[in-house]
Amino acid sequence: MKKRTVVVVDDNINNLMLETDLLELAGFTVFEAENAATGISITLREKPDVVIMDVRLPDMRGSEAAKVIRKDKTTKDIPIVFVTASVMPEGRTELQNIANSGFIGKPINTRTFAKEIGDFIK
Amino acid sequence: MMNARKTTSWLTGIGMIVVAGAVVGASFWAFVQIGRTADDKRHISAVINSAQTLLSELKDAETGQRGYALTGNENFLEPYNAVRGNINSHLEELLKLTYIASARKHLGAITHLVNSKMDEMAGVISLRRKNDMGAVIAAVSSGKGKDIMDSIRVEMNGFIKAEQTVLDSNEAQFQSNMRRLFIVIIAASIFTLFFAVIFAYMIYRESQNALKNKVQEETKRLLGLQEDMNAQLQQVNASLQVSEEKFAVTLNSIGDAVLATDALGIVTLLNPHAEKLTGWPQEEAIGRPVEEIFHIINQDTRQPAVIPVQDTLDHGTVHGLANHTVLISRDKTEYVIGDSCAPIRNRDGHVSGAVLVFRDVTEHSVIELGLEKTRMQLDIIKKSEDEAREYSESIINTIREPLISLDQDLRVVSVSRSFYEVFKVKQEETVGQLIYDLGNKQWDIPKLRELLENILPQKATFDNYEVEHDFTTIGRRIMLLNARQIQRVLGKERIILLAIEDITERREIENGLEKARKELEAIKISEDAAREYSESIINTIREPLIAVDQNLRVVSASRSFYEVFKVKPAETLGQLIYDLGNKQWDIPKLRELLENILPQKATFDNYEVEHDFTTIGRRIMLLNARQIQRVLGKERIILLSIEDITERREIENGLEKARKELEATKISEDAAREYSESIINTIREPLIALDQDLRVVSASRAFYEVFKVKAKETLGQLIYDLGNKQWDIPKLRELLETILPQKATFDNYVVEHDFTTIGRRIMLLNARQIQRVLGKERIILLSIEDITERREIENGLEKARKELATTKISEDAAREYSESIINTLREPLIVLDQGLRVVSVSRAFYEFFKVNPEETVGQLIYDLGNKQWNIPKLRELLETILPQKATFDNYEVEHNFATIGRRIMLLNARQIKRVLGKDRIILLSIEDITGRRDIENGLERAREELKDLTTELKRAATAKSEFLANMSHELRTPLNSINGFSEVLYDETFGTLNEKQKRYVNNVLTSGKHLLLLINQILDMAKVESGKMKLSIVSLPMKALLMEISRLVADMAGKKKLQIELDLVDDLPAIEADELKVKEIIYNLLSNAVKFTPEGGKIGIRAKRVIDSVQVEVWDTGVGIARENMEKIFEGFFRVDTPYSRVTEGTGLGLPLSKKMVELHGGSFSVVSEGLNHGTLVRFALPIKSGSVVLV
Repeated sequence: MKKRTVVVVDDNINNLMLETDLLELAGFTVFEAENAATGISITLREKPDVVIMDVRLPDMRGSEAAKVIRKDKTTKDIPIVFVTASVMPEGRTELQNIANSGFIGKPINTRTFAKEIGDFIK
Repeated sequence: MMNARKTTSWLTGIGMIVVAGAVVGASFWAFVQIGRTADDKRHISAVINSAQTLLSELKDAETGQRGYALTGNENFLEPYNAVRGNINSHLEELLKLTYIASARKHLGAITHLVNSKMDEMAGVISLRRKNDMGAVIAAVSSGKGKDIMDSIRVEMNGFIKAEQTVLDSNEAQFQSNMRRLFIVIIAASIFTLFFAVIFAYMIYRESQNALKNKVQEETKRLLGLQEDMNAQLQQVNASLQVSEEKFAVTLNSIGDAVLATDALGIVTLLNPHAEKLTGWPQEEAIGRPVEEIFHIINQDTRQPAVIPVQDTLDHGTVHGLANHTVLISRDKTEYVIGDSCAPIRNRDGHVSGAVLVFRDVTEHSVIELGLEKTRMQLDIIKKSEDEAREYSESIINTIREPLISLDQDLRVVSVSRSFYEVFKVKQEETVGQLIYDLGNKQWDIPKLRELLENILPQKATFDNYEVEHDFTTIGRRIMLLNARQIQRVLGKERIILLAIEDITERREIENGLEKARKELEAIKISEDAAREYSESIINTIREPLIAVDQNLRVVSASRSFYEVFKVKPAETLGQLIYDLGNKQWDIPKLRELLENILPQKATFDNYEVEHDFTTIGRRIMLLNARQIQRVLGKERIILLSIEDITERREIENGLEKARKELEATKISEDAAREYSESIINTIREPLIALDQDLRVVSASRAFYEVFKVKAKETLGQLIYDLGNKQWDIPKLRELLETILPQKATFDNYVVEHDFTTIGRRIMLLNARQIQRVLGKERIILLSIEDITERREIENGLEKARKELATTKISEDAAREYSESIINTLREPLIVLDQGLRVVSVSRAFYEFFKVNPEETVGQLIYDLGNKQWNIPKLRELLETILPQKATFDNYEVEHNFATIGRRIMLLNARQIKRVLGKDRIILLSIEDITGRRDIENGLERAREELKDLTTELKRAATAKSEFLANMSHELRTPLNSINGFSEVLYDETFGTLNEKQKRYVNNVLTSGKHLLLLINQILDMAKVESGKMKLSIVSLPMKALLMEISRLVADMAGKKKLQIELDLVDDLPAIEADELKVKEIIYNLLSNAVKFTPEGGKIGIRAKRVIDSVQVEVWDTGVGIARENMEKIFEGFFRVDTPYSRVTEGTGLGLPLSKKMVELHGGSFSVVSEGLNHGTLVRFALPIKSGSVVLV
């Protein structure tokens, strides 16, 4: 089986490292991005199996980045999992209309995180 | 035509170009020819010259040779020598120049001869040189030289001739060329001229054509204009025709005789009735002076009566019906007539004629006569009623209590002015509406419905029905509704009068009124004392008043007493009051009053007594009594005033009835007035003109008035659509669509129909279908006579007669009623005469402005209360505005009164004709709105403050929830790393740790999780408190849920060796609640129980149904709660110190949060503890049915 690839976008380098380590341990090939623009360009280039996206990013909202990814024909079907500390219901409304997306609130469960992400890949 | 002309132009153009080309070509050719001919001529002349030169040189040489020969002088040889040297070159040159063959031949001979000659001469010369003179002479004499010379001459002549011939032919050629050129030029000129002429002709013709076209267009335009003019003329004619037809139909259909004259009094028109009455056919009558046709005398004096026509023509005035006039017709028949005359005015307003309308009074049938009489009587009554009505209407419009009248269908017929103001509605959105629909259905009040639909149909009247309602426009009001259901005098329908009174305010007024009444009573008593309770006083009091002596025997009674109680003075005076009218006054309450109360109190007010009188039926009376000392006697007498409320209400009825009747008749009155103004307005009956498609072309003013429609919603409309399709009457359709196309005319077609605007009407329809003169369309003239009234009057003639007496009484009553209204008004009301002096004022006025009657009545209004009423705005109002407008509403005046301080008043005034007099009086009502303004201002301020506060609160709430969201996010982000990395480390995913390291990292993880729990619970608390926590209500099987959670804590409990006891009833119902929240509540409580119970203890759950809730109890045998801490446990962050649990465990928020979430579900929550170390029991109940909407 081909190695599964994932792009992780998180501006907090500690969290980025944590997620990366967990995913690599689970056998993913991980591409890291510390802002949305980098995340988008890596996604467009690598066409990963799944994208992990923080919501509050320095250059744009994760939801906006998701829309950019959805616009491109080659990446529009890639599932996007929002992993965010904004767990209040009012913070989640902007994510509701994004198709084929998931939500994992921070703090993450390190024991199940990689499996949850893997479940988003069809 | 156009093409031919174009072709011609083209051809002409081409012709001209060709001719021009030819001329240029010919000219060029001719010039070339001429040039060549001239060259030839020059050349030939040169050749001839050269030849002659040669000849003359030769001659000179010969002459010289001869001279030498003769003289031997060498000098003579010079020419010869010159010739000899040149002659050959000359000949060659000549030969070169000569082209002509014949000449060249001569030249050849000449060359030869010249050579011979030269030889001969040379011979002679040489001979001479030899001095051989003889030979010379011989040679000369031989003539040889001369012969040669002659030959030369001959040849030369031939040569010259040949050349000359060519020159001549050239000349001839030249001449002919010149001629040809000339001819060409002439011909070209002629052609050019020809074409120019053609061209000029064509331009001429073109411009002629253009001109012609222009003329044609102009003609066409003028023709068009003429056609338009014709069309307009046709239309004018048609409308003229129509109006003539209308006029004719009108004149024919109206019941009155009509006679019209021109400005000189010459008859111009008689309608059939007039023809009949005067005995003059119209054809004969026209052109004769009116006196001749209309011969009238006074019925009593038999003296000629004045024909009103002349007066009308002279002064342009309208003359009403003159009584007792007899018209003597042409055949001497006499008719008693009534006539009236009105001027006809042309467009400039000048009188251009007169219309005399008269009717036969003698010919009327018995019923008609009676009817007429009744009508006239009614008229008279109506006139006085009119005054009374105007007075009371003015009052009604001046008062501020809303009054509304409804028809049977509960639709608004009319409302008072104050109704519009108080309820902030407009007339157009009120009249004709269902009462419940008024002002956005804010009148759809259940109690009002009950009243109008249930109570009123049974009772016909109700009083003081209290209704409290929240109006969208004016807020919550308590209203006292009074209604009367009355029969329309002239109609069949019933009308409901509904008076709406705002009680709060009225109560205030009642207090004021009571005070004023007491003051007045005091005044009355002193007056009585002074005037010895004279009969006159008693009789001027409108309320029945009776004076009894100490023995309760009647001393005197007022006129109204006799009237009201239908008793006579003879059977009253001297009688014991209880014995009056067959002891019908023996009323227990009256006895009590007179015998018990009065001796003690000396006075009593408004004692209400209801009693069933034998003569007058059940009555509600208001009794007022005064016990007074007679001045001249020593005895006391008792003055007892009896106010009959029932009667007053009946009077109210009568007044309304009269008012309604008048409203109904007002229309025809108006019409009658219009009638006299001009011919068109003579039409009493509504008249309507329709086109072929049954659309309204025009309608008379009466139509608009009677059917209460406006011109713009009428003209152009289909007749059936008029006034909300109320004209869509089956019989009218039949008439217009079936009968009329066949018959072209119909008369007296009776149609009965229920109109939404004017109710059930019987109409007499007359129609004429006429052809427009110059148009092709048909026009239908439809005259509509409302005979409802007539029918009813005819039918109810007897009834009407009987009613007359009653009406008269009600008229008096109405007048009195008007006065009583003034006195019952809560608003100060003042009546002024024309000179602005006070005629009377209401009690409220005295009270309000703290003035006495003595210093008020008869005073100039400005002088009242030490001239404190001398207000500039009031002066302006009374002296400037009122004379022009006769009425004004809500004129706001602010003034500083000496007695009562600064006040803002709302003035309303009506200038009306006095009932019993000719002069005008002014009704001025004064409303003090100072308090209202203060309240309004205060309210406005409070509203502003509230608004600011609300805005501030909203802002704060927004800021708070934003803060919480941010806090949550900012704390979770580092927690993610703390918990995540410590978890990974603890799990030894990337390598093993030693014991200590593992314990430490577990501490980090536990603290992180604790912090996270704290954050979540703080957020939840904040959400509950701000009302933002939403419940997702589903059906929860409680039993299963409790079992599930108890299994979750079983591990925890097992570690501490705790025993768990479950006591759940079998039929525990499911509840409607938020699953996560309920689970959290139970988990919180169970984990608390585990936490605070020492090892080996017990915890347990009990659940059962209590009424419509499920009650759950979580108990333990743990540390319990000290009494002093029972309150603190719900305050948050409170933790019970316990040796069994670590301080780090628990947030102190679990219990308060659980309580809040239970309460959010509409449940109850309580904690029971017998005290420290006696265990804890937490009891909560959740309702089975949620108040919120169930999602699943």
